[in-house]
Amino acid sequence: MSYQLHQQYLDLASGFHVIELRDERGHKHLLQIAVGHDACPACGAVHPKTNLGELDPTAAIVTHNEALNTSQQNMLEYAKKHGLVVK
Amino acid sequence: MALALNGGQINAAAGSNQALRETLQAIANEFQSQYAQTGSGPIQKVDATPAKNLGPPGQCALSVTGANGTFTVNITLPQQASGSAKPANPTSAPIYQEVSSSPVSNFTTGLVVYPITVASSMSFDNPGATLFWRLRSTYDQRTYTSYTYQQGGAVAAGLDTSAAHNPNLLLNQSNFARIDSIGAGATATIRIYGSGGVGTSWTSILGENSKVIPAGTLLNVTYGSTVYVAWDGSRYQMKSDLTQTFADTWLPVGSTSVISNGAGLVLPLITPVSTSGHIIGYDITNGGNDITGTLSFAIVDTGGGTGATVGPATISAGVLTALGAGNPGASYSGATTVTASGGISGGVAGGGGPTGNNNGRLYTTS
Repeated sequence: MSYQLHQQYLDLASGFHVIELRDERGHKHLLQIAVGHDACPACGAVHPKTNLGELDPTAAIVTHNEALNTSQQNMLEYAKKHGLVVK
Repeated sequence: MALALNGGQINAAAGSNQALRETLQAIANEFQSQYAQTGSGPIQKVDATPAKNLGPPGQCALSVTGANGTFTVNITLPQQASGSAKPANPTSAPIYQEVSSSPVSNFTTGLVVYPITVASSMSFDNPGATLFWRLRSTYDQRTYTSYTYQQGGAVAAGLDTSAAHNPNLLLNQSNFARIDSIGAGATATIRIYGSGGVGTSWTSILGENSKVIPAGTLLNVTYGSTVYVAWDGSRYQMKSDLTQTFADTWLPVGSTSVISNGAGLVLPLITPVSTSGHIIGYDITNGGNDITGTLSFAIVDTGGGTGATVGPATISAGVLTALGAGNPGASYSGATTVTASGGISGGVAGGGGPTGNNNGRLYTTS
């Protein structure tokens, strides 16, 4: 049981690179990278993001998958130790 | 030839053919055996078409009203009418009603014919619709009266009003989401999660129902403002104004101040490396924390040294990791200090709130 990349897409309306991670049981974790513009909350002026070249979505996916899977593995070991049913 | 499975029919059909007679009799016996076991018998032929009545019933009256997104149709039967000229239905026989509607008065487009029924009242949900209505009636579903039209023209169903709901129904909602922001170098990360901690899903409560929403991590968020986060059913939406999260079908999650991490901005500590009055390098004794902007460095020497500058500063994950040497200057013979400034993260230190912050809920829950 482990989290893996399920789907990813660019949502132009919200300005997010949406990455959906899922495990075999259908549990989801959403990783969203803000790649759209920043708008001043006061005046609404648009400031395009200038750091898109520095972003590394692949590394972010790997990092979050590892964290989620480590957490899940710890939980499963806990369940096994205490004889719990995993739902 | 009449259809019957008995001895007379079999003898007439078989004639002198003894083998056929015995075969037909065996079939008849088999059927009788089955009927005896199941307690049944031959199925009688039923006419699918009702017997034709002599004529249509008396004219029925139609009344349609609209409220709370629903059309209510009431039909007055002939025997319920009053006045000397009232139509007759002396036997009070069931009258079938066929109601139809259309957005245009001549019923040429958008015609909807509702299922025929003997009921005299019915309702149809159609929020926001404005329709014309008509009715025709029949005893036998073949001979109809002429159409009776709703008086007064089109009827508006209207929209749902608060009167159609239990008190406070729409406000009986909350969620168990946690939302906070943490510094991640030049940008911030917003985390949405449940009471189980970072990475766990959270629960939305609406009335007596609840549903589980997946956790989320929003990366590359610019420092310096409060954001409001909503769940649109498949992803998170981040807005700078609360009212922007009130779109129909969106679920407001909470708000967080997107500023530095819990420790806030800490400027780095630098020690110059000098030789023969020249600064040839810089040791970083403390890389600082949560540096999100450009750093400036002031080099001061009590011995009269001048001209030294720093080289490129490398900042990783909010920490100064390297500071190159620039112009070495000259005459640095006293106590030399390098003081960093700037690097502002754009917010107030610690203003992101503690981990597990739950701002923005309609009601505070545990």
